[in-house]
Amino acid sequence: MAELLEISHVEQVFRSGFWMARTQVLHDVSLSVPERSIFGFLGANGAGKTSLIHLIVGIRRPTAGTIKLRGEETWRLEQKARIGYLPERPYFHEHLTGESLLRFFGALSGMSRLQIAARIPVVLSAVGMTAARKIELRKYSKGMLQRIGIAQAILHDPEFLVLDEPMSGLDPLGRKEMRELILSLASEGRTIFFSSHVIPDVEAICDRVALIQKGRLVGCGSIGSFLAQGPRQTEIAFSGLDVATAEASGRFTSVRSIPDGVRATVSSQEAVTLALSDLLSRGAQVLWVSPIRPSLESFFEEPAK
Amino acid sequence: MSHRAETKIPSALDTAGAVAKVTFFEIMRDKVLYNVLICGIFLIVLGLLASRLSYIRPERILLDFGHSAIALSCALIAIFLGSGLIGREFERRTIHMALSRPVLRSHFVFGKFLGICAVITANWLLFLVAYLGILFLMRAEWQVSPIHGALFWSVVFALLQSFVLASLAIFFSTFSTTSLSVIFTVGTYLVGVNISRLHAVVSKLGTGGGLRSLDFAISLLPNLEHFDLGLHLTYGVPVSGASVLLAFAYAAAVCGVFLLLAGVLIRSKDV
Repeated sequence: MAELLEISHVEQVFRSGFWMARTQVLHDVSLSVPERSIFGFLGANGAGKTSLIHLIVGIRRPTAGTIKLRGEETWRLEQKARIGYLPERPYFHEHLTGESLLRFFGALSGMSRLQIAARIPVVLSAVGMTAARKIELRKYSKGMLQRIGIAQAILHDPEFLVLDEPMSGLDPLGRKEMRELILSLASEGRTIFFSSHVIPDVEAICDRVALIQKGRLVGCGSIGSFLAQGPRQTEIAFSGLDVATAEASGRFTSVRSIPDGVRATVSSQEAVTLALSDLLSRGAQVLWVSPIRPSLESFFEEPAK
Repeated sequence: MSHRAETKIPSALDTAGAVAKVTFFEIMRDKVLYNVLICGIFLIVLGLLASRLSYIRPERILLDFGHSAIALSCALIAIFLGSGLIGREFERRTIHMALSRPVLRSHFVFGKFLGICAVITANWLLFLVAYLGILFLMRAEWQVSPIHGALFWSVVFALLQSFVLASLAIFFSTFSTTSLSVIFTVGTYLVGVNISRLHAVVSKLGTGGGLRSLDFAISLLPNLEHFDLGLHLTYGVPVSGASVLLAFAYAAAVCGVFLLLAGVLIRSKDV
């Protein structure tokens, strides 16, 4: 698969305060995004995700290094026209209606009035916002703002979409709908780069993942290879045995009482087998056994160690 | 699905037009605008009352008050609303979205300028219609028509002066806060409308190096006296074509310089 975006040795330095103190937020970041892929960009808050995204969409130019889309630097106007961008928070003029917002961004994207008029119903329908097109943005919910944000990002029909935390602040149903929307946009042949700090969101839809921590890229690869590196734990819930007996058995790393019985965790596959056979032999009833995915926090701690 | 193979960059006018439209409707919702309108209406009403109290040339009083209402309201809009235009875009980060599109920052600034100019012009037209209407109605009572060519040019010059002030406010707002930008613009306005008096004061004080530098610094500031028709308005003295041409050319040049500088400064501004 050809690479659509190539980020090479990118560094970003901000200068702030009276003495123009130097703060480096990105350190030698290099990665590439294959064409027609969904690329997840993981990182905790303040890790440098949005800073890199601003460089990708050409809002800023990197202090050092290059970011190229099909071989041309993304801060160039011609390349910016190929990118659709959804910011983390909807930084839109609130007095605009959904439709007038699309007209505004259509004009800024170099589209003619006819092209804009033809595309607006298409994109509004794609994001399910046709009914709300005449409503002012100040009256939109967070989910509606995200949807209209996606609509403006795809209005000029870009081949590359950059979505900064598209699911942040959405309820579970909103997240599911956003995931489906991203998958549907990808199925149209677009390459999608999206940032998140929520592993399940990334895991559900991404082909490849990059992980950033304190401005440094600590890994890049398939989602499976990442999760395999994280600490593995399994949760076993059972009834018919009290907490004290479970703790005394020494088979579990943690034990706590729940209304239905006891919830305990074990730390390896071998321990699961031993714990289960021990529970069954003591006459306990197993309610469920489920693997616990590594949490983002513990996942981030690993590379630092 | 086939994505657009060719990418089109919007022209400077397309960008500026789109930004101006959004800016116009944004300002139209600003409460400051309505406060300024109320101030302007108050001045006209005050002029109407003052003209009633005068036995000698009451039309001149209304003429001056009406002209002041137009000039002041346009200037206040330019200063108070122009000073916040760029800063607000950065504070609310709405500029991020615009800059992610294929637009130049200088074109964006030009669009903001056009937007506020459109608001100033709408305000100007509103007051002009009211002003001319009152003058027309009072004509019979005064038995003399105060509407003359100088009146027309004086209100046009007030509009040009407001455009200059808007460009100044936008320029200052590219490197300072909204309140500082207001202070700088008001300061420049006060110096600008008193340039010849300041030159006279400086020359009376002496010819030292410091004073010469001060005189030179004053010369660098926009001379807003080009937009003041003064006695032409009061006495209906015709305005020469050269004065009109000079005022238009000067306004265009000053706006051009300050918008150019604003465009350069905003390029290096961190978003």
